[in-house]
Amino acid sequence: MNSDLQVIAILILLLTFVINATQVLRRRRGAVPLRPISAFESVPNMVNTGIETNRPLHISFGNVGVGTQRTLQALANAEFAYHATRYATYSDVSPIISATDTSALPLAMDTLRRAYQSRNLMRHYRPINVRWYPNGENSLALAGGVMAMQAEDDVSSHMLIGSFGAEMALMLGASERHNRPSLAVSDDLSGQAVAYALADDVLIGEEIFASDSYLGDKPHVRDRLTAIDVMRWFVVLAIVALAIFTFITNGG
Amino acid sequence: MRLRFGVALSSALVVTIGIITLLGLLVGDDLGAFSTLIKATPIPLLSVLFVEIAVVTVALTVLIGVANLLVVHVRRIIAKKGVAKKDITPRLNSLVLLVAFLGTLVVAMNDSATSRILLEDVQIAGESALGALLFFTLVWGAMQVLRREVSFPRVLFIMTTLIVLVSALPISELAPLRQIGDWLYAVPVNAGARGILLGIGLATLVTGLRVLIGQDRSYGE
Repeated sequence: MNSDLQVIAILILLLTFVINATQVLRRRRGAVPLRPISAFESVPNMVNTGIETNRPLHISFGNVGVGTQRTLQALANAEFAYHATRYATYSDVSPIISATDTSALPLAMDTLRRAYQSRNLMRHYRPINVRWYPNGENSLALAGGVMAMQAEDDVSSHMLIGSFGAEMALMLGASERHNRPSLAVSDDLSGQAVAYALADDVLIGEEIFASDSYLGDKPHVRDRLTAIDVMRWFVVLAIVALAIFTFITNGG
Repeated sequence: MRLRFGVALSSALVVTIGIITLLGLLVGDDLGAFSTLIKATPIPLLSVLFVEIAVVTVALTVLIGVANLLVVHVRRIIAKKGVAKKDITPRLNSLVLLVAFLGTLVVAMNDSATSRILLEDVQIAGESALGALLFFTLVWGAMQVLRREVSFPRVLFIMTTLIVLVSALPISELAPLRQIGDWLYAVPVNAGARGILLGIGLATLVTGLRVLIGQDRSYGE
């Protein structure tokens, strides 16, 4: 890394730290209202449908993994899965979590364990309900596996949260054919487009990082969202300022 | 109390290891006194060590994956109740998978040429077939967009898809449409894509920093 990049990286980190700290202080003066996101509102309904029909909920992480450049997305997905499976722990049938990156398996197992432990239902915890479908990006093996899972395990609904490419269409198509509700988001743009077109409920981009605030019972995590919003405004202002500067220096 | 101690311990470990690794990787030779200060400590060595441990651990998770695959399908075959109760197909699928896995393992250890044939003529052919199916699913998906809900963003989505697809046709009469397609690609599509990626980047940055300073600590609960 050259020195300019190092300095920029350190400055960005410091700026993020300061903004995050200001939002923590601001939180103490009052809670920040959240805008409604329909996908989060539909999560309890999807889980309840599974409980009432005695069918498992399926959550897939796609191709995110720990120790890769998608580590933090994996953690965000795990938080979403934690809240969704926490609702589902009262069901007789345990939720199923699938992943293609093997490094996500321990994270998924721990997420399921935490969900059962939070309800004091550890006797119902089955690590075997975390499943690995081989190979990495644009995993057609995962798509094939999830399509088969729809018929074999009689899944109640699909939550595809993570990194998926166009192969997400096969999974959402199977879900649609069996008349099962689906929720999807992907950090890959082709997967995100497919999610928008085919899923019943869709989260866009960084909204997956907000699951703690929308589904959880810890209000203090809301300042993360405010910090992201403040950072976004900084980026918008920087882009506009740069455009005006370029316009002026190029002589209009 | 025991649980809280566990959370505190894991938080302390995450924060310490995270900050040491960040400093070791971020600070190079070009930051003057700051670089000299960091280099005088064991931080650079420790950061390399932590990264190496992480790489080895991630590599070992492949074994967890294989074990998981085998256990899931063996249990499915021998299950007396639960998911495989309805019919024979799930058991048969699992049996085929296990036989294929063990067969491929034996072949790969003894005969690399046959293993390559298995990969090229079976796996790649199978995935290509699924890839072709994907094309039809995408077209079907585009047709479903307006059936689900008619709204301005969805109409815009379909219009953009149609213009981009039609403008890609090699017909000279469609040259004006091609210009519109190029503009769509270069300006709104590009801007939207960058917006989504920037949002994910900012969320990742904030979440990473909060994990580093111990504000987000779901691990260890």
